[in-house]
Amino acid sequence: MSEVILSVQNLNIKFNLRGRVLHAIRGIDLDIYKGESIAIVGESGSGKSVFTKSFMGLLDGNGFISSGSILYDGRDLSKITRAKDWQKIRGGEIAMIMQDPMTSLNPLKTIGDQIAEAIQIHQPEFKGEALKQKIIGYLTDVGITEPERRAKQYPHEFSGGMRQRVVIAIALACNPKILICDEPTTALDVTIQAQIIDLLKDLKKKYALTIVFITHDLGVVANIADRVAVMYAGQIIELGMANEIFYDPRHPYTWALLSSLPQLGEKGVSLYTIHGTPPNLFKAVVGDAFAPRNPRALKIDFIKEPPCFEVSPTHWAKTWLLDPRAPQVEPPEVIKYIRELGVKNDAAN
Amino acid sequence: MMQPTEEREVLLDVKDLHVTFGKGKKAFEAVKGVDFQVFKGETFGIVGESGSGKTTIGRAIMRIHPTSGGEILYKGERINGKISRQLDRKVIQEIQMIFQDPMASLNERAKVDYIVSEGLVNIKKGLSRKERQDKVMQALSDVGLLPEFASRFPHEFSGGQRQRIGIARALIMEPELIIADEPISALDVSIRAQVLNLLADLQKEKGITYIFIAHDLSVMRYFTDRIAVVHLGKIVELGNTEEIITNARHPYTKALISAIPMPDPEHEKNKVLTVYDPSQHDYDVDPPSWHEIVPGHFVLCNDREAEIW
Repeated sequence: MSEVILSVQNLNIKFNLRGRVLHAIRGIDLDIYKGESIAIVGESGSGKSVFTKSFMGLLDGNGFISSGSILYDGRDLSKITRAKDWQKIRGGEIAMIMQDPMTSLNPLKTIGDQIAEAIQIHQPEFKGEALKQKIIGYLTDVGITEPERRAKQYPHEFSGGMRQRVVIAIALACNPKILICDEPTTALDVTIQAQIIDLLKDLKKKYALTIVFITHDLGVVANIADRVAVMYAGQIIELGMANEIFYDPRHPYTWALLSSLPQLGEKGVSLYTIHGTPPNLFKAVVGDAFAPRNPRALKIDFIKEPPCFEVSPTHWAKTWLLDPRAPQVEPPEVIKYIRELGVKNDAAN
Repeated sequence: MMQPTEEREVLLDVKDLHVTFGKGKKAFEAVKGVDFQVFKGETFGIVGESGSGKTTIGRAIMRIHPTSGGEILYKGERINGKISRQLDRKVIQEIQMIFQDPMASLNERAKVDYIVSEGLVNIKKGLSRKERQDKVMQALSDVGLLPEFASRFPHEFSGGQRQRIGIARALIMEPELIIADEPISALDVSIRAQVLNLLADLQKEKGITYIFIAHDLSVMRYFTDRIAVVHLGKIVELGNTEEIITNARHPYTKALISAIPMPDPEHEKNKVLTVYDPSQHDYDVDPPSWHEIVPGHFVLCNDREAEIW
């Protein structure tokens, strides 16, 4: 995990909405390493989808990159304007799996044809019998039984979990280097969700993929993520290895996200909730964007934006609490129990 | 066959419930003989995957789906099939439902005031306009919304606020039983906590009984007192929530438990996912029946399995 595959530098994205400007991404720096799986976690509206869509030129028409760069394979993706240039990146270099498998497949074509389409564009060397074998190979890899028969079926003949597997097969057929998974399990049952995450882990090894996993649920990513980036109001506010984020989180927002998980709740005791709403990004944000919702906010949080404080070489957080002059603030009790809870659950199973 | 373990008031008694869709050759039995009792004031969870029939059970109790067999007794009175008009009204008022998707379950063209009070208009006809408005205000404040929201349209609200409107709509009828069908699955994690807390507070204040339908056992563990695990239209395990989670016997329940995502990387990396394979049973030879393993903890299995599990 040393080679940087994609490097985002001081990225700013804005949207024009009814004559006003919404500052959706407010200066993100992030290096994504080859072969890792990184999770991007945040509430609705935190900008996590917009951020990753910019890697593929999929921003809505009124959105634009106002400054910064996205370096991939020696070129700056933020400077690409022509659709033709994007075609070389989309699918073949970076592919995406969307949230809802019900709407991301074409209902009028067999799934075999839909996979073939991707192979014909991105791996044109496969033709005839080789193409057929390739389709069956991908279907087998994503865990679909009887691939020959299933390839001739239409999406409506598949269950939700199976459809998501087909969507993954189509993404793989593009032969990408980076796979962006935008909430791939949110619309699925918990049991299917666990299976899809296991599948993604296997495929990552087999196809040497780099995975960017987007979700609002910190509970889901402990399994798949090597690193976790927590986003709030268009910024990454904490970044670290999965163990660092779950066992030693430093930002009050990460604390809040973790303590609101029902998995950690004690029966009969109210869950922790984050009061208020995320800031209005039509207006300039002063200080720490989370301060108005943070019961532990310091005075300076309302005045000056905190810099990134390093916790370890792989872990930093954007909060004044890490400043040497800040008062000692203990994380909520429940955070300390996460590790113990894991041990307890092992024993129970 | 399932007796209450302690002397508690039974609010709802479901006996050998069958629900069939379609007729003749195409008939599909979604619920195949389900028995359970819901005690007054408790939170009873129904957990299962998509297609298990958990929603159908809830809807059958609501009288949305006709039943094809069995009985549903509410306070001792039969409420499925043909019932008197008077009882129908009573049931509509006392049993309310909260739906999964707050984006789809509110009338986009009506104001919050109307959405919340619509039930009153139909059931409590004698109310004056003032009384009705007071009730709407009370319901809105109960769910933590401001009174001025009454004159707004649903699209002006966030997902969490919409779900609160859905809850207010149920509350205004002063129900005794609320069936909540996946009320938090469509919401963000931080909003989920708010809605769960709200439901818990309302239960404490008003003594409402909940039937909580979900696919996620982690939420169930936090929120419910007892759960029934449903698989393909049958309850395979039923009992006290904590007992079921720490001492699950049926392999399907174990598979559901193994799938709970934990916010703990070390635990998750060593996790072994159990997948339920129905072919492991030899029910052709030896059909399953209810076994009470520990008082109040029932499992659907045959005698051989009862020994092994």
